[in-house]
Amino acid sequence: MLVVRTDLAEAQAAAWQELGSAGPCFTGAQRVELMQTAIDAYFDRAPLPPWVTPSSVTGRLPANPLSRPVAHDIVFRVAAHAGTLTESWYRSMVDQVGERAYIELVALTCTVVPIISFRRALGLEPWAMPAVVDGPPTNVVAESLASATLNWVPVAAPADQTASVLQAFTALPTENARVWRLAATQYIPNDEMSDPHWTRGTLTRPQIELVAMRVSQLRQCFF
Amino acid sequence: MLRWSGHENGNDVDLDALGQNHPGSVSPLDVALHEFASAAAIGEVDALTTAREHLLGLAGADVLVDSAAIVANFEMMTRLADGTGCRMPAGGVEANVAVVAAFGFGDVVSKR
Repeated sequence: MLVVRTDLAEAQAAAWQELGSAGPCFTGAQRVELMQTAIDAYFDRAPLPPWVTPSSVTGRLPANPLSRPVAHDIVFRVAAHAGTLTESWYRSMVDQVGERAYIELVALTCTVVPIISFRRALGLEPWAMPAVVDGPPTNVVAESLASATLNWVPVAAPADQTASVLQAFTALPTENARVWRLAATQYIPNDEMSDPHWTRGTLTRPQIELVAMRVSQLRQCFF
Repeated sequence: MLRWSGHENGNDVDLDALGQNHPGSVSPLDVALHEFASAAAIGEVDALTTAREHLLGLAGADVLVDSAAIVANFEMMTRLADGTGCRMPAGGVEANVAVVAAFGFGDVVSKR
């Protein structure tokens, strides 16, 4: 039987459960419903093509979704076809849902996908959806936002003082913290990133990067 | 990161061999990691089962778990980068020309 190290198991479990509670722009019930869209998109071996939205196809979304259909469309596109995203698509989505909601939807997808991917990779049973915690959206946003040159999305001010991936979700501190807690246990703690010899005692750093590179290649991710 | 960390560990990685999915002279563990990462990302059940069992037999459960965690992380990071429009800092592309060429990243849709 496989044993998942404690720090990793706890970080993933906490992240999964957190999605049952309200985020900055969506309620817990909305987030759980959106999680299902991300799961369906990721596991679909023959997903809709990028230019077809699930909201335009009968039966792809709940009959009376708790969130606007465009929110599901964003989650679907990021989960199934992230490598095809363009800035014009981003702008058109933000025109409909707003910047903060867009960031939360991407962060939600970025929480669901690694956890379901991890469990599938190891042949582990999928987790049940988290319990919904009632309550309104938190509206927790960084004190001051700024436009970035290294990202499409706005970030916590001042912008562009750090790498684009590190500032990407800083507009929404709770979403940002959750994603980076996952990264520290799934990959490498950020403080160790510049050490080419860092290891957990299993894979060497080059072996870690080999796996990372292969996934990035298959996902067509230039970054 | 791959090229840099390999060099710093005295083990320059054959990027061309790996990028073309013909690991050639690289170690059996590197091949198993490459196959597992591929199968986990693609998700075809039989191929994933085979790759998982191969890696488990070759390197043990702890390596398998950590490998799955890295796959998971880059399922996350690729979506973070593409979903928020992350751009390379100045000089970032030039510093990684060998990796871009070997893995065909110059042709991907998300290049910007």
